[in-house]
Amino acid sequence: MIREINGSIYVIKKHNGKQISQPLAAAETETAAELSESEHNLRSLVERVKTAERLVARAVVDGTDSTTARAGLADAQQSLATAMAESDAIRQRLTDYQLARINQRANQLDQEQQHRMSEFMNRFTLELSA
Amino acid sequence: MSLSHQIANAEQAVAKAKQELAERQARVKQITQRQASLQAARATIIGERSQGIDQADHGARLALIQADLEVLEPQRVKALDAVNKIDVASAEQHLDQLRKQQQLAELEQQHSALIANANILAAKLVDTVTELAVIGRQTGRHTLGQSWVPSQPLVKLTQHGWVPR
Repeated sequence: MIREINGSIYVIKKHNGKQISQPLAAAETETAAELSESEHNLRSLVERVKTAERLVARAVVDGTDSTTARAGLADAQQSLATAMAESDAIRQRLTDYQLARINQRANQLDQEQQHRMSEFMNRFTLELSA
Repeated sequence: MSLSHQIANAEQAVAKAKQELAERQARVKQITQRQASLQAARATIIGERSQGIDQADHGARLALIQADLEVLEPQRVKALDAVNKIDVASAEQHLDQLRKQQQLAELEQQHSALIANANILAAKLVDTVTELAVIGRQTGRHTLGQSWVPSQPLVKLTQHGWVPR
């Protein structure tokens, strides 16, 4: 969950059963590292599936019992599917943080522009209102 | 998407491009340093052999160095190609264009606000001068000029549409 507290954006999350708030930039760095690790894991799992596929193919060609190889392949495929879903979730979280940061910056730019405009018009309207 | 959002996005794109460029340049540097280190090791072995120092593993080490160098060179070319693909200048140019657009939009906004303000002031001036003329007549001042004359800058402004500051 992303929240704005006193003009700064924090990510609210649970850590060891406690709710903690982490600055957005720190959460973004942490999640980017998490995504990198997850993608590395995915690449390993893809290799594992390929190996398992080769083992099944070899068993078929050799005419030996392929039950164990097929079980290994199913397990590898299941692990890959789980890891892909996890990776997607991390990527989505990172995208959410990046969007929040961009929105915050856009709001800041809008506020700066409004302030400049207000300062500028003060030169012309102060005497009249006085 | 608002202009501020576009600028925030473009700022993010520039920062990302710069970061990726730095990472890719670091990769090229890492490979180049590894190549230099291997070449130095090869030169040492060749130097030793030319001085008659011949060790049993010289040949194997030279073969290994050569094999590593052959693997590293395509990696360096690929890494260099990746560096050249990052276009920080385009990202910066896009950001610059958006900032100029924002400046122009801000000037347009100021222009509109000033026109609205000038219209208010003009209406107030007309009201003030009209009331001045009415009170002037009641107090024996039969022409407006006896009560108030516009300042020279105001006269110039109304006559020429411009007044120097």
